[in-house]
Amino acid sequence: MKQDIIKKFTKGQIHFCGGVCFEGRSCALLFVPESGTSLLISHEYAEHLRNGEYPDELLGKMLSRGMAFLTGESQLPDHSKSIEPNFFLIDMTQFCNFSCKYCLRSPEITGKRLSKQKLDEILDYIIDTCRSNHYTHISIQPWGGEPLLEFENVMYIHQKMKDSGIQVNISLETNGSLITPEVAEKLTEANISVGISIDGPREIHDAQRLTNSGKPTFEEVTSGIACLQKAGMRNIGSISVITKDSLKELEKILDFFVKQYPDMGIKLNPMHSPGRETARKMALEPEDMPEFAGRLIKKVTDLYKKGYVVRESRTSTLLRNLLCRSDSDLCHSMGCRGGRCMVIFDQKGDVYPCEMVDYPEEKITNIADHRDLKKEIEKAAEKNLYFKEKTSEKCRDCLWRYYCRGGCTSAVMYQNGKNAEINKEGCSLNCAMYQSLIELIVDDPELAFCIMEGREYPGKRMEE
Amino acid sequence: MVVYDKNNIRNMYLSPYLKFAWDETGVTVYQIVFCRALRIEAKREKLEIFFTYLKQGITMDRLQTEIRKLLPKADPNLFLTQCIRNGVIE
Ligand code: SF4
Ligand code: SF4
Ligand code: SF4
Repeated sequence: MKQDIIKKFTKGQIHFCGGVCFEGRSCALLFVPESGTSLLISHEYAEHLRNGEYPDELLGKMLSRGMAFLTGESQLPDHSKSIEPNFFLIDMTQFCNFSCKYCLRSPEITGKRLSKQKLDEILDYIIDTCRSNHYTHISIQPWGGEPLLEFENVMYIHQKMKDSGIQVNISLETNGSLITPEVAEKLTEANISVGISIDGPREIHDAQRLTNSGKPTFEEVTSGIACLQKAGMRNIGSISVITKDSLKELEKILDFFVKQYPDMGIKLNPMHSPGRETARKMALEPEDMPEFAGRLIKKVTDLYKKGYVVRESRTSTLLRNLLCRSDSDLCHSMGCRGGRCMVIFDQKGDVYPCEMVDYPEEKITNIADHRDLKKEIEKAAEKNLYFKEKTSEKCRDCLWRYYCRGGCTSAVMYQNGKNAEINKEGCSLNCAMYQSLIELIVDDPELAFCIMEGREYPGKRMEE
Repeated sequence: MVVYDKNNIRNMYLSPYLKFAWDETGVTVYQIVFCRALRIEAKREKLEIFFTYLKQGITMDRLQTEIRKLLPKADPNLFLTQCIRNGVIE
């Protein structure tokens, strides 16, 4: 792939912001880091751009994508700093019936759970926040530990929010072991989205995810999935933690999901927080990320070429960023939106950004103070470390800065207790992913569109 | 998604940077780069035909004809100017 810098220029009243032109086998992609937008063009137009020739029609398309602007026009709005709390995590329980080898929870914590009364107060506070800010759509995620240990309270959230008239997308991430046919039916009826933690085929899963008494869990988890399928739940997701060990089997893991669970979403989380001392050896390091990215993209494209549809979220989200900047992923579209969009309620009713419940100094407010959440976040954003902009020189010149801005704040804080640094693992992963995905786009744009949209590749060759 | 070359560059296309919020009387189109919203009121089936043409690419002349046909309440020139200025059509 050829890569050229296209310098900023002014032609008449039009100012181009400057960007990079990537050229591959099929076409070229003009990418402007400032706006995070791009334009797909033919080789001929790429040649024009390199020679400083800008056909008027092309300038028109550049204008409408915010890559260029007219004299006197203001710059593009930046919404990355806007405060719109609309994604609420609720810490339901710290207990879990599993004891996965890489879990971040301290194994000493058992049985601390959110009382029904406190849950009620939290929901009242959320409803007040929505009413005073005219939010009609929000998301709530019951969080844990294992949230289905609090199944009754999960259903209570559904009922109370339904009665409030506010549209809520309730999603939960569960180890799946407590999903019986009855639970599956109720979750399906309530339209609750479920993501199941399953690390791949039996041998890979059972090497990492065990019960508290050390027994394998694959059987229980897959029978939970079967209950959800039988109840007719659509959009079931899977969440797999990729460790140093399971990275060796990445292709096998993807094969398992597309062949066993073709309709299920796939979310691969490379483990990069150190967690418990014993788990440290399992985490991927920044140097492992290019390998993870390269093999992930290669396997996903190979599967599409064989006629499969792979609903893997990282490749599709990052492609969407590059091609149509969806802006809706709270972690990967405009940098971390933790605290500004996503907050967590702990069991005392304290409110924190994203998952920061272990950092009392990062507290935003307590629901008992009945203060306006937006205003409290504004105050916290001025003084709390969590909200401090990451200041790395590297980010300033980075092509992917619009989407990343230094990466996951919680990961950085949990790693070193401060937030002036970038998340090195996330940085390495992003750099490798974006570069390879651009290569895919300019070599085979149709394949890239299919992966982004999760539809069959017309150029497929079915597997023998 | 379109790859622009000299054969299609003069055609008008729907921007890829859009979000749609449908309701009973029409659609609000949000252009996410400029953070602007454009309201279009018409029956959903007609609007969907209109957007399909724009996804495939359509000449300016034909687009004006289709607007007259599908969205008779709109002034075609004014409507198109609004769409282009707000980055909904490129
Ligand atoms: S299921 Fe989740 S909360 Fe429970 S031990 Fe495993 S990783 Fe931790
Ligand atoms: S953390 Fe890395 S990928 Fe992210 S903006 Fe900074 S330099 Fe770019
Ligand atoms: S802290 Fe991390 S997980 Fe939370 S919103 Fe930010 S990027 Fe996402």
